[in-house]
Amino acid sequence: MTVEGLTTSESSTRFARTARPRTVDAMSEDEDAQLMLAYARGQMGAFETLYARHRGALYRYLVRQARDGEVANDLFQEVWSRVIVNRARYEPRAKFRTFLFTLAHNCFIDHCRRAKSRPQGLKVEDADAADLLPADDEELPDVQLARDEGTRRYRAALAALPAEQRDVYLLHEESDLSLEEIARVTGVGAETAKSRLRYAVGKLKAALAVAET
Amino acid sequence: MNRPDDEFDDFIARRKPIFSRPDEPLEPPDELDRVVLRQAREAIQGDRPQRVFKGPRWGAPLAIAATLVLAISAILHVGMPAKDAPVPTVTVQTISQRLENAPAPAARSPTPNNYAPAAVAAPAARAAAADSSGAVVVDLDDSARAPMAAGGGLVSEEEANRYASAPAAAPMAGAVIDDPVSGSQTVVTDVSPPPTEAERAVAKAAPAPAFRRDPKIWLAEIERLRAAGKGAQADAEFAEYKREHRAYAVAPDR
Repeated sequence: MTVEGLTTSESSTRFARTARPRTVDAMSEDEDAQLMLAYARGQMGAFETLYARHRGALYRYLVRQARDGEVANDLFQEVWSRVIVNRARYEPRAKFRTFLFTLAHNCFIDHCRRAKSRPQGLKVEDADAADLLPADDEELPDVQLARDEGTRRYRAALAALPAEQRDVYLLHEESDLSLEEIARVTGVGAETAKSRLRYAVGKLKAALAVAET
Repeated sequence: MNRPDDEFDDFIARRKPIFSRPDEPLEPPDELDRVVLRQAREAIQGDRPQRVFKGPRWGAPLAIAATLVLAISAILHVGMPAKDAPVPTVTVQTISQRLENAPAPAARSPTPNNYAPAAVAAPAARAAAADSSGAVVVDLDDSARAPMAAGGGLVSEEEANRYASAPAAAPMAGAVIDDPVSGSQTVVTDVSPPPTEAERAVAKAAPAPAFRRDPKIWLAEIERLRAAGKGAQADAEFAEYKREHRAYAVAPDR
């Protein structure tokens, strides 16, 4: 099946699952900015390279945040749509990765607000975005996707985290952003981000240790 | 044993994990990849300007210049009235047929034959009459009249027919005056300026004589006036007749 000159096999080959890059060097970040600028000038190949480089990390971040495959898919598409729409206004003042995950963070917050605003008898005004996040792992359908016990425990521990701590932790783990960049994405100070990350790591370590014993 | 702060700093620096984290192969589905890539491709395709026909660079200035020239020409030739009065012309007709049997007075205009001797009797008087009527008097010498003399009076049939009914059908624009003394012929062409609006208003206000309604009768009246010795009145009537019938013309051979 061919869609826009890209077959399914080509798509699978092009974005073959590779080992997750745990670090992104400065060279590739500069390349990301150049790729984004090239795409803004109309080079589709630049976007394909950019997409292949960040699609996995972004998707994992959204899946961990939303804990719902369908929601994550919708958010993933929405984030890239915003990248596409804002291509002409993109300026490489920060890393492209920072720009991308800022969009993802905002999309998720918007999603939580929309979910909360649905007629469920809940008030959304004055509510912090973190309070709107789902906290109960048992409510989520992706529990079915947990094949092994380690993954299930990790997800459960992650889901038990307060939203702001989970957000900072996932940004640190999936996006490879620095603390300063995470603080910029989440709109808090660097010390606040560091504190949240410290609490998140401590809770996750304790939860996983208890589960193992 | 590491202190907790050192352990956390190692974690932040991604040097050492604090706990074992399961490596889930989470990847976006292929369908999602295709959707995103298609959206990206369509976005930049929409940015590309579509090719449309574009004329040469000089096309627009040329079109503007041509439009201006045409507009100015139309204004000059149509929109603005002519300031100068039309220059009278003397029409020279080709004589194509010999008129032998027809008597000259009958073939000619009824007016000039009888009117001419009185007008031509004295060149000074003729000039005075022309001056008074604003006409231009042109003397034709013998060389111009030679063909006519040799032919014994050449008149085209068409001309003869026209003159037979000239006053009603095609009034003449001038008159030819024969000068028996000098043997020359004079063409009098009316170049008097057209009457002004005030003059026309006065003329319309005054009751016109009845004989002016019919050109034939009008000319007959002019002849009668001349025969009665009322030259000035006849000249005035003839001038009025020419003003009313600007197409009144006499062939140059008259």
